[in-house]
Amino acid sequence: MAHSATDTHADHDHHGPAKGFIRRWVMATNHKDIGTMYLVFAGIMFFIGGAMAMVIRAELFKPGLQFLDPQLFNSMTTMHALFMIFGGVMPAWVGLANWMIPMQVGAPDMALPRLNNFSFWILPFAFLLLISTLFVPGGSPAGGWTLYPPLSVQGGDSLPMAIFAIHMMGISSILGSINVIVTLMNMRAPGVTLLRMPLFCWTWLITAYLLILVMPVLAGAVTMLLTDHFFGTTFFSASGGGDPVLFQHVFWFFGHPEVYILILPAFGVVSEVIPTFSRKPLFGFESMVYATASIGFLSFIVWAHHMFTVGMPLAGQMFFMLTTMLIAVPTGVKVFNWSATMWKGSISFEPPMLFAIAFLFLFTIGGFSGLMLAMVPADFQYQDTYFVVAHFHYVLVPGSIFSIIAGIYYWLPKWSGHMYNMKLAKWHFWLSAIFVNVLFFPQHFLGLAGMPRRIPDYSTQFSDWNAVSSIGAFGFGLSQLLFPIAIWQCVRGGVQATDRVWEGAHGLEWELPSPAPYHSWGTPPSLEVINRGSVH
Amino acid sequence: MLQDEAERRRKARNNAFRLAAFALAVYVIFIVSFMHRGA
Repeated sequence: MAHSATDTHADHDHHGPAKGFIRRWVMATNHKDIGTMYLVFAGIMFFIGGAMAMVIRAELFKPGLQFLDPQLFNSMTTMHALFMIFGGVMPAWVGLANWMIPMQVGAPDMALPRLNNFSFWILPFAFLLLISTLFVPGGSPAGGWTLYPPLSVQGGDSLPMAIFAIHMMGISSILGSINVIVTLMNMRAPGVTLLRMPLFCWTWLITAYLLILVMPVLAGAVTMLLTDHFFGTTFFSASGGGDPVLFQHVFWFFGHPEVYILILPAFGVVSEVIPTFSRKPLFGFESMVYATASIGFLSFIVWAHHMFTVGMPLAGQMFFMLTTMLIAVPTGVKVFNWSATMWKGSISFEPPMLFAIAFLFLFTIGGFSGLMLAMVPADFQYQDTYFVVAHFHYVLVPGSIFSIIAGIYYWLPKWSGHMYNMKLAKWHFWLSAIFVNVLFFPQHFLGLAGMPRRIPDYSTQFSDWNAVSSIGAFGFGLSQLLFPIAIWQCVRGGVQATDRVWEGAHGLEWELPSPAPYHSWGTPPSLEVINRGSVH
Repeated sequence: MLQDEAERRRKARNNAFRLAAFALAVYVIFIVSFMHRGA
């Protein structure tokens, strides 16, 4: 096949990767190299955050204090969340965006490659700073990832380190988002109109706008926390006219869009995978775009559902309850569209599809428990219990993380040029799908029975389900070791992947050879190629 | 063709600056808007 993507017209881009570690990786400007670095970084963070989760579940295996003092336990829950959210899920999405967005819109690279390099290289330093707080007097932050004052400002020396780390993560996210937006708005190949962009690009575009709107809000909130602690201001202290609840409002004004930042790209990946393995075009492409935009908009007007119990006027409770429930409408549109795409399709169950189907079922469970939490009177009972923990882990683990895995299993043959070990990947799927439910489903029961979150010890009535949950956690954690093995084997060798890789795949990335050339779309794809790749 | 490419990159850079300025403005405005609370 003749590829305009690999045209060797007389340009300076026709060369391979730079020689030497520093020139290739430290000074990287190639979107594929930077995407790889983001994904490797996210993988390391997932395993560090996962190790913290194992420590938490080991402590909770039975009642009583086993291994940790309560302060260290609280540090573990706080650091687990910060590592998983800011170090794992977000960089993994940016890594996938870096790899796929230029290839999917026919651009030669991200619009601002040096900025891209800077966005990535801030992150290792941010997390080095964050993890080093484990070794300072007073230990690492232990007030929860929400950093609510006055608790969070009563810790040891770690507060300014954590705040500086959050600022660095925020800068990295904002710069990464700027790059995604300008790439999608300015670098699309002629003929790739906005509505011909794949859904992964669409969901990332909306995610990037959310990030630019809310990361400065988080930065502002933690800056105010810093000035309260060190410079005598009283933004969040009642003693000087401030209000601790104000922090909660500001934090969740960031925090709720943040959870959609973690899940919207997952919708994009699933919208790519399900049509491919159903061998049908996505049902209702435009409605998917509008539903994603609606979810993005609604994410800004629901924040106080995280804090119903602080006390607010009835009208406020009603407003936030109803707007939260409204989110079920566009989300329902998506779930029904994915189901309709599979309806009467010629479905095959390769690993990406298995993870996407598990996403569909398990994310929906997380969505339903979210609806339960949205109801004010019910939330008064569920608040701060393991029911909340079960809910957000259902949307984040089989939601975001399963989709990241699905995306990697989907595009890995295109990146590496080899097929991976299907048997190993299926083992990875089945062990993950079983253990994730053993891990998180019993936490619903614990929460409904009244077990509070963020405690290292608990009443003996909660023993049985905690033991089950911990066994699930160890099983889930161990089964994730299969993932880097499958990736490593695939990168090292294996059966040569075809250009299209999957029989039902459509999109510009599948018009490129496998492995994708180091510089792709040096010449924009022709209209014929764009039309062949597009199914909507 | 090269001119088109240069124009495209100029637009991308300008848009990037606008977005960065917007993010910075949100950061400053958020803090300033709460200054009356004893800061």
